[in-house]
Amino acid sequence: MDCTRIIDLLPEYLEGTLDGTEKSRVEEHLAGCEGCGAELKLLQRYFQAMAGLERHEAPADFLRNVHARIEREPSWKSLLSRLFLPLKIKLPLEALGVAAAALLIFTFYYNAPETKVDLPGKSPVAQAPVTVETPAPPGTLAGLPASPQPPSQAATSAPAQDRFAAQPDFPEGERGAGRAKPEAEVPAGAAEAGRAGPVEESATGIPAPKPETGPPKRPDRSQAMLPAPSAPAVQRRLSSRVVPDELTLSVELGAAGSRGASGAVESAVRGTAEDAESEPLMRKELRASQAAPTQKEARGAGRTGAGVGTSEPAKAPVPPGAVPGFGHPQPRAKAGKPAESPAAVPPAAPEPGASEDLPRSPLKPVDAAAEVSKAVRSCGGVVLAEDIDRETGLPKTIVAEIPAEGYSTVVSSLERIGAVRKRSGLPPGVGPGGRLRLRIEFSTRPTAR
Amino acid sequence: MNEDLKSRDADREQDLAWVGAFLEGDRAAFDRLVLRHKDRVFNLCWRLLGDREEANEQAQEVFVRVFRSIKDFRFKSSFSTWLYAIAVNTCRNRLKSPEYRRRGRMVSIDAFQDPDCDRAAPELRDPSPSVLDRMTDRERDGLIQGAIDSLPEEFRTLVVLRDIEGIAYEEIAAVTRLNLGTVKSRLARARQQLRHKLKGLI
Repeated sequence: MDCTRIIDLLPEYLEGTLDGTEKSRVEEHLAGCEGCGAELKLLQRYFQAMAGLERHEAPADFLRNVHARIEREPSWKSLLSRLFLPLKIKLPLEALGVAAAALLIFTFYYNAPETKVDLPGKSPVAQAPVTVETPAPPGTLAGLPASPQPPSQAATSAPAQDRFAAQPDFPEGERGAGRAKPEAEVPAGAAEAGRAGPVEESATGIPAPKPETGPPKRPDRSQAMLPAPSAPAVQRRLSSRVVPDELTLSVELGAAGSRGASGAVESAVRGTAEDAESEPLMRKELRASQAAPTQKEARGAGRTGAGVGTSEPAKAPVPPGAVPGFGHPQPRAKAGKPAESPAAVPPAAPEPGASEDLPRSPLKPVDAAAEVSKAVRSCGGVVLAEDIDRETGLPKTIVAEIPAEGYSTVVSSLERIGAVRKRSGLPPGVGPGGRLRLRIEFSTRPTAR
Repeated sequence: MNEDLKSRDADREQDLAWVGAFLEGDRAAFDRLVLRHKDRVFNLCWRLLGDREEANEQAQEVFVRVFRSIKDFRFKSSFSTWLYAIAVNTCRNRLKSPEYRRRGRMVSIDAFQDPDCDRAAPELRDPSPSVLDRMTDRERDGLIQGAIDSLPEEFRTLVVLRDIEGIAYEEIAAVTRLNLGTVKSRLARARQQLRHKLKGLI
């Protein structure tokens, strides 16, 4: 046996718990090993010191105090502590820190301010008229050029008002302080375009806009965070949540927006070279995604437009019950043959009684929001939120939920408003029958002349 | 030796008889159990907690728990083993409690201010034999107790159970729910640490 093994056995040797064989081996080793002998003496002194410690006796009133505690502490306390004993969890400080960080991130995530859209109100572009079709009352000629209207006046124009005329129950507190009061009289065409149905109370008690057509909207938690529609020029709170299937489109107001609508329309704002590049790209994507349905849908759309003498097929299907000429996709090329030159394509789906060859009336900047709303509703979608600049009346951001089939309708409408740039790809998995969240961000920029 | 064993066996049998009587409603049997074991439990708590008041409180708590949970006793071990297990767990919970830790810090600060306090850290004292020879039993006891208090809790428990209370290894294994080999190896390391802290004193 080596010294290490002997030293391990020394305590039990001193305690007398070793068997005879081990005891004799230890004694043999100790007889010839001074180091282990010294260790034995030190260990012996240790045991003596520990055994020599004073033994403390309990106080004389110990039993009485035990009785008193038993009587004082009710049994339910013991039962309660026993019930909750397995649930006592020691939370380390690190876990507490992680939980606090998660709470902070959660709070920030749901309260983060909306991304600002650069929309200078004093920009000359913002004040210039946009050559986009204006909804006209039935029986009137559409497409007559309108005089440029300053944004301050445009804020109270009818098409902007009609978006909110159907939602009269919006609380006053949510409206902008300096907004213009909506007029009671709304043009017929505008009223039709702004028909959004009665406001109904959602489960959360917040009025939710009811779509005119289309399948029942799936429940969306973000709607509970959105205020109800209101009067024009009201800045509505937008959801800051990032929806997984959200598609963001950027529209530059007045930039190359009229090229696809009519070559005869006078546009006060010209698109820049960048816009000219972005538009073909957009169309290429549209052609790729809609090449198959274009021909089939064109036939149906052609029947829809037959009453008004158009031979141009629509690019996107028209939902049943939708109003022709209001927000429906404006065909820009013949079926199966996308337009190579937008200027050569006459406007389609004209207003009842209007001549398709007549130039469309330029769209006022504030009409852009109405146009988008029409397009969204016509394809069975619903506008979830709008952010309107109070001073200029120009839209900043519009969030809408549309059927996947209505994507081309909305994009076509946007192209007549301005240069459309796709900022994020079509979410994967969004196919026919699915619904798509669209975030349309508007901007203006100085015209490159 | 044999007489000691016979005496221990007789005590165990008597404990079990009192437990049975108490389970049948004899409150006096509980009192007899308390009176037999109170000093040993009190001393065990004192050595584990290092403080008289704490020991008194926790020893009372041990017997209150015995009173409440005596129906859980299965007669598979001796009553003393079951009692020591309750005592060790009670003191362990107390050692981990925030109140005890705050109180322990306050006592430690006071120990440096009070010349009569017997809980001064042994490392701060001169361990030369000349000084130790002049120490009273109370001072020596305080130094050893301070060294025990500075041990990790699992080492402290084993040292107190074995080297102070003299409980058998097998019973310690049952009380601490460790296997016998772990008890012995941990006890060897605990003794090594304690002897190192008491170097020059013993």
